[in-house]
Amino acid sequence: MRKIIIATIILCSMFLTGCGSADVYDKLYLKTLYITENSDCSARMEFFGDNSQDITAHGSSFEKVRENARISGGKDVFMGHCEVIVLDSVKDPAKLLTKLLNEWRIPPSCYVVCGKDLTTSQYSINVLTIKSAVEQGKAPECDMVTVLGELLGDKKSASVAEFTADGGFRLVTVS
Amino acid sequence: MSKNKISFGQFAALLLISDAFAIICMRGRIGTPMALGILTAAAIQSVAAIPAVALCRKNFKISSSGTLWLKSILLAFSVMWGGALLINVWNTAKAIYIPSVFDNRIGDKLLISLLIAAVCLYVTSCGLKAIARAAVIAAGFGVICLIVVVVGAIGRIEPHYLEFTGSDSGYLDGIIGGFALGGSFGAYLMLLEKSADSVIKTTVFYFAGRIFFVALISFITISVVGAIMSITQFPFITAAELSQPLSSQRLDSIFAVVFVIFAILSISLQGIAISYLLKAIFPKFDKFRSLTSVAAMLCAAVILNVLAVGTKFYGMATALTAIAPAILLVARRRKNVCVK
Amino acid sequence: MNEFTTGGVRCALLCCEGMLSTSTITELVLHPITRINLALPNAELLLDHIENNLLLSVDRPIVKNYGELFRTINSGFAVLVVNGGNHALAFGVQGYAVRGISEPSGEANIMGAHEGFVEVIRTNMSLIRQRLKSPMLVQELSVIGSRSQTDVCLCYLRDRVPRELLSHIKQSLSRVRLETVLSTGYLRPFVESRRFEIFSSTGTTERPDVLCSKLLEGRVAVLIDGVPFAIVIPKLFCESFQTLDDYAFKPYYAVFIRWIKYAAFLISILLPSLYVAVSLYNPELLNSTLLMILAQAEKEAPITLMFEAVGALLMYEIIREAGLRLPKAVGGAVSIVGGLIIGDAAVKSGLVSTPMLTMVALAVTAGFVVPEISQSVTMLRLLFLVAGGTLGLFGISLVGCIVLVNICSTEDYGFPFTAPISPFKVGGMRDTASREGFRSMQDGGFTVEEYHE
Repeated sequence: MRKIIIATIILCSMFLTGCGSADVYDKLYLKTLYITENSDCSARMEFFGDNSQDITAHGSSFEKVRENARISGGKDVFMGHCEVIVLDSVKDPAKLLTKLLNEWRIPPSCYVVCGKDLTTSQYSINVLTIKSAVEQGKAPECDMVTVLGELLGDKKSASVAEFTADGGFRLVTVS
Repeated sequence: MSKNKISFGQFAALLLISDAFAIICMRGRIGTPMALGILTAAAIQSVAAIPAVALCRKNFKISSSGTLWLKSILLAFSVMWGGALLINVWNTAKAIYIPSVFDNRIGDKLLISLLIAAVCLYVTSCGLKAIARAAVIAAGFGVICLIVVVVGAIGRIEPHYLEFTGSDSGYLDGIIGGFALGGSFGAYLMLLEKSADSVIKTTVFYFAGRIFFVALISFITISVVGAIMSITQFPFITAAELSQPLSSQRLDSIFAVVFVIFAILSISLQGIAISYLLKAIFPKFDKFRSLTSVAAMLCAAVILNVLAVGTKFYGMATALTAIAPAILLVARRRKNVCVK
Repeated sequence: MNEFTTGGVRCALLCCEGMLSTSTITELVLHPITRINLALPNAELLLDHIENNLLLSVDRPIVKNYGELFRTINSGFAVLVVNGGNHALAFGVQGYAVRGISEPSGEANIMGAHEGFVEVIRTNMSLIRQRLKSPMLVQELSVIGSRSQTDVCLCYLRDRVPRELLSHIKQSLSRVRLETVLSTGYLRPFVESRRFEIFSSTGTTERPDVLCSKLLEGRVAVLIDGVPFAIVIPKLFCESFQTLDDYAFKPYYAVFIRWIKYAAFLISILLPSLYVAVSLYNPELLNSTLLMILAQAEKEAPITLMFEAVGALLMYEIIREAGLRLPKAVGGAVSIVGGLIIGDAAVKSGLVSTPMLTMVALAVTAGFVVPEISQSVTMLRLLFLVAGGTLGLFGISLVGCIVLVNICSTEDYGFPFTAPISPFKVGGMRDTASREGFRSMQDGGFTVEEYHE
């Protein structure tokens, strides 16, 4: 009986080979995400590897934005390695970050900063810049969990760094 | 050690794995009052175990001396709890990286259930000793994971989240929740007669281990996840995700592998308890007991999932099962008094 | 057959040409036996005189029937048959060509003896006797195989072996109904449990020193004539990671090497599957630098990651098997073909990616560290790979659970295979998790009966 069960499992698994998985190179690995939420949503996505693959996508919601990015890029967008999220005029940062953490599987160690007109520019934020700023005390702790915790806490606001297209940054409060 | 007896360490490892799995799969927010409630429930269950210990010391064995109603209650409870554990696996599938192999064309739950049922069938058919030995090794890996989580959590602990706030409620909810997480009590009652060592030592070791584990994991979860507790679906799993000791490399893979092994051993434990009870109730039922027990748990999982049974149901069921030994002890004492 | 008359009685000396030593038989048997004078020529008197008054050889079994006659002749004995006698006498004057005692090929060793068992059972018995001069050492000879009549020797220390274990093994061996016994593989299924076991619960060894150490722990050994390996019963899983060198090195180094072996075992069975599972289903578990290296490398490979891995492993098995079966003169060609042509060319042409080949090479090399369980490791590696490739870490966990429970259910004669890890014995850890010095181990008096359940 046992042999039949085990043989059945192994045989079935042969038919499942590769189903539902994309190979390693069949994905675009998100590095930095610039999000703007006005009347509709838009996002600029920078990926690891080739810079020419960077995509800007628009949509009525963030699900649509991701879908459109997938169509533009021709590959699924994988968000598990995202290093920086740049909030560029977002109505409800807490709701957005919750969605990103729980549904889009953005890593908890991802940095959250603000940006001014960065979604439409070509300026690229380097995660090492943010790390140095935090280590030197010029910017507050701004990983996803910390920022989200402050937004969900009593104060309903969080202090983060804001970057501009000319390379400058300052501290702002998001709520 | 005589045939089919297990040592106190194996006994404790088996039950603690089942408890750990149930606790890790817990949903919803947890605060200090709730954690205290869960600990209280564990303490109450340890007190409820005293009549069972007393009965066992008088050589009372559920499988041979137990009445039909007791065996039937335990059987129904074990089937229900096995189903509940399967539902836990379904619920945590996304959180612990079980991939969607058919792109949602064929139900993931169906596939996961079939695979886990097949493995549990094999594990159950290997017998109590095999699963007890495997539990010790799995528990060892579990301890390593716990140490990794504790080390990773050291830098992230924020004790102010442990403070009571005015908006916190949940001590009573915690007690009910604690009972709902204590479903391995049925297996404890069933397996106590299989203990090769002193039942007192076995019981004390198990419940002490359980209380320590619940306290430690609650402390870490509340103090690490406290900031984002309101948006967390599985607080204990989130605590493990946030407690990474290495910044450059995540260690979730260890947790995922150990978690699934815990799930299988927990469900198989119920399968073994069901097999023993089936034999006790139907002595001629020899073959296909393992298959029957796994099938029963699958059916129970489907029914409980459809009925969307909540924590209160499981809590009440466990609480009722916990008082069964006390009722039995009183009944036996009355019977002895009448005979005298 | 040599017919002659001695003591007035007609006799015949039967032997198998090429199996005995001509000089030995001439000096020790023929000369004295042809010079017998009896007052009353009589078969019984002649046999009695030779048996009790002449010491013609050390080994002198009595032959009572044709079955024993053929067995002794085919074992290199010279058999004296006397006209009118009701039995025959056999003389141990074997002189057939045998392989000399040499270093065992499969159990290399740096600090220990360089002697291994040979094909002659009596030589093997003597190798054990030389090392264990205890009067408690028992070597019981019996015969198994209806056609081959193979000599089998059961070795144990009378004061150490558990009685039940010995009687169960004897019972198991008595149930063997084979026609021939040509290797340990013929007998092992009979002394193991009928359940399917991934890892064998009986061990083999080619080294007499290792066997003696097992006998001292109360185990039973089975020697088979014609086979330079001994079967050891029972065997524990942790013994696969122990070598005699561990007891020659300093304890701290022995502990270090032992843990390397444990890690190598896990790497060997899990590395390819983890690599495939994490790359396909959980790339967030890899750090970004490593992930980009893998993605870039896999970009040029035409087949999926899992088939690449399976193909690489199967190719290795083919090359390994070819290298084993090829004549030694041509063996070097296999290394060139396998290493340079297949490996290098496959990577340069893009058929296989470099990271994949690295993972497979690491896993395979790690498997060499524990050669005793290499068969099981090979199959488990493939099984885990299929599971990881189809279901990711979940699949690896499922298979891991099955393997874990199978190992834990492996038990022969009441000795759990996973002892002393589970059931956990603190005392057993001194030679499992670590290797304590002999000063602390000398008072142990450990026997395997401590693990009996």
